[in-house]
Amino acid sequence: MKRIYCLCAVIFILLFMTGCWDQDLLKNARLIFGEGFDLAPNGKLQSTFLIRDVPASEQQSPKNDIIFTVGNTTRETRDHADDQISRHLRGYKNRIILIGEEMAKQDIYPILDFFYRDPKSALNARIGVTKGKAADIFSLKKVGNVLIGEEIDELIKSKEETTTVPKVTVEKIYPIMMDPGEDFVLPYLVEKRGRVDVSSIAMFHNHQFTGVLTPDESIMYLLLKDQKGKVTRFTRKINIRNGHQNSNDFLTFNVDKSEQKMKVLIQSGNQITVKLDLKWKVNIIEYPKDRLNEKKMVTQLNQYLSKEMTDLAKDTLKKMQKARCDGLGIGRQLMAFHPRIWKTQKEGWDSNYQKVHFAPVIQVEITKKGIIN
Amino acid sequence: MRYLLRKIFSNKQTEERPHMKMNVFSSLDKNLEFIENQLFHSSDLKWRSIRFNHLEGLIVFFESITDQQRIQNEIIQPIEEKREGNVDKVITSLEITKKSDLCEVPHALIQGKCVLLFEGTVEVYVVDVTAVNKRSILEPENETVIRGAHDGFIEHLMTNLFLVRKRLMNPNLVVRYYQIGKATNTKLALLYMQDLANPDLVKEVDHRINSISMDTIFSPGFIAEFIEDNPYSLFPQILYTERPDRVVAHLMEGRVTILSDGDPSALILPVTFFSFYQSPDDYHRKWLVGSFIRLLRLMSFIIASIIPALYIAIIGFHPEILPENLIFSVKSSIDRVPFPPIVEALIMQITLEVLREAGVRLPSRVGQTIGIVGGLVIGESVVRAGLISYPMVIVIALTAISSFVAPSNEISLSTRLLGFPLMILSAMFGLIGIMFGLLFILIHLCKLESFGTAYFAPIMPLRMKDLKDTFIRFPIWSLNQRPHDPHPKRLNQERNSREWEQDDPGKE
Repeated sequence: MKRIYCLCAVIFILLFMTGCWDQDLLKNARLIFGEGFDLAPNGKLQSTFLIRDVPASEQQSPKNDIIFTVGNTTRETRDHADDQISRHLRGYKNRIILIGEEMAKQDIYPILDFFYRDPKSALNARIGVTKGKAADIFSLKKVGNVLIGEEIDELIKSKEETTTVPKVTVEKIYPIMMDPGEDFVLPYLVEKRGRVDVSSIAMFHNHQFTGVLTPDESIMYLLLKDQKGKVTRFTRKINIRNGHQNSNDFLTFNVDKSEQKMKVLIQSGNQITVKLDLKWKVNIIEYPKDRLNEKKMVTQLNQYLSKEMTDLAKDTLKKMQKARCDGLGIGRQLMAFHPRIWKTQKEGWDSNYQKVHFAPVIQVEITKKGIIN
Repeated sequence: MRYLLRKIFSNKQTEERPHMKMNVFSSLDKNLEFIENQLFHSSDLKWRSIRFNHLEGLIVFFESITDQQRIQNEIIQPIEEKREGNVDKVITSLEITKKSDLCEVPHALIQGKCVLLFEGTVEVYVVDVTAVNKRSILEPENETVIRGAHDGFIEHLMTNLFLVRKRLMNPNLVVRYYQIGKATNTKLALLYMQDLANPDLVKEVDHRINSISMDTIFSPGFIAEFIEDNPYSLFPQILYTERPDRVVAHLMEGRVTILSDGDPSALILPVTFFSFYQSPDDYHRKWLVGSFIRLLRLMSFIIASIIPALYIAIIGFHPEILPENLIFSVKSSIDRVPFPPIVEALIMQITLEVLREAGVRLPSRVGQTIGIVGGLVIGESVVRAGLISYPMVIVIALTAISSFVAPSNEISLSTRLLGFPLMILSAMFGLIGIMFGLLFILIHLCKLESFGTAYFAPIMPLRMKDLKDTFIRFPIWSLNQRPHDPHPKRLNQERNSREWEQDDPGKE
């Protein structure tokens, strides 16, 4: 009888203790806040790990710890970092992944593969490309009074709201990566005198970094893609000859509402034409010259801005074609609506994409002029 | 089950002591001697000699439980005045019986009656002169409400019955007396509505009360344990209340109430899980407010039973589900703690339970000290010393507060006890452990039955109409039917009470 009790107890304990194997105490973790990937001189991968340490008392501010390691793969570099640090290195609260320019010019999928495979990795981490090395940006440690990791994270977040950079996370770019008919774009980070500047977009083609859009072009691209954020501002130089003076005055406007219509048409000779119609309702934010109460002036401005913006759209699309970045997903549209054409175009879509004819038309309509008129 | 009950029942029948009959002696001294012997010369047994119809007589009584004023007024005074006549007519008491069996006399005496014996008469008169010492009707402290009736049951059965009858002036209200406890002879009263309560239910309750065979019955808790279906379950299956309005409301739903002499608690049965989260307060408030508060209570049940387990699971197994802003502040606090989360939680939880128990036992003046010691010293210093983390203190405090929200003390204690196995499961298996624990509890709740009523009633088995008064309280004019779970004889309880809306010609 005693033996049976003993046996029962042992079985019970063994059964129930198995769960403890899966334990992963937060107490024993060192949390990675950001990771950077650069090309090491010998073709290897150089990883930068930004580790956030929080002191026990509330008065002290958190601190960053930076580790640089070199290895062949992402996992290997992380293991090397784990060797150099107490407790366990954990990446489940990773906020940002930065990829250095040189590294990004190669295929970036192998770097990210590890993140997609690990069930506990932070797929909502923001991802961006840096001018120069990612390690250099992390080495800033602090921007003003804010720790670098937090600064970059918050910066990109706020820039997403101003329609400057696309809302991308590690998770969001995965389906696009796998799609032959579309390319993704990432925020482009530049270090400027000890600060980080995020105002432009890095274009990718086939998981490779191929070019950069200017800030205005970045906004235009996002509007063409119909991914307007909360605020979308342009500042334009207004050059309307209006009787007396050839004055150089600037006008800032915000796109309140943007209606986008994209149509992929096939014309004779398999010429692919993409018609992009955008209707904007615009709010004038700043225009010292005023005279907006004149109806004629407003129509004039409408026409002027429409032309300006259409030109900007054309420039943007041209630049994208040059970079072979199919950011609007024309290939996907072809697959969906013209599968026969796609079959013929599939081979060498890179070069065929560059032959696509874009016909953007932007209509600007001033609907609000602020509270003074 | 039934066979077993019958067996117990029959056992009891055979065990009953053989009744000895003994005729009253014609000699007064012999009678007195017999009574005194039967009561072992107890010091509070008193007697006084009288003369009536030219016969020597004796009044025998217990001075401790008889009202001597009444003996004086209702027996001695009339007898001394009239001197002769018929005893039945002379004595002004309400209840007077004749007995010829002397063996019944001691039994009558201990119930607070006094006995009249006369020389040469082979009959005794038993007169009821019981003293009633009762406290006044007060609001029960553990079931206070903001609005509504503020009276509560007391330790006197008759007063309690008065409180119920006064509210329910209906000939269908039936009271059945029982005497249980061979030694204590506790008086019980079973209350039900003849036209509502299911006869099977009444029969079953009657059967179970009759099968109780124990010599002492202290409290209704004894009765509850004897008659409830699943004594091994953590969940209370009988609702205790000290509020007559609550009893009446439940009687009108076709339930059965057991009142016992000497205790202010009424037992209401059969009840469902959700009736423990209903309070008379709900029906005094506007229905939207009442619904909100009831939802809050049910939520507090979930919080009180799950939150500590959830916290342990997250800290120990799945920290990745914490938002990034939170994880760093949590981490900063738990980094210094030397224990694994389960030990931390157990220390805190047990401390809290000890504090709670200490608070109950201590008089209210000293109780304040407990608040200071518990709240300030333990809550603050334990974190300062690095033994427990701040989030854990918050979690345990939240648990404690939530568990006190329940209107019934029984369910509140059960909830807190329920937290412990869940905590252990979560410490071993993380969220999956909690999931299994919750599944087990849910299955148990669905399976539980009391007096033929499903315990998890309006949900399992699902009855949409009863859900109106479960999670939220619908307006009373929409509660057309009684809850179905006690299987009342009549379902309809309300019809078109707002008929005036259609009648009013001035409207619209």
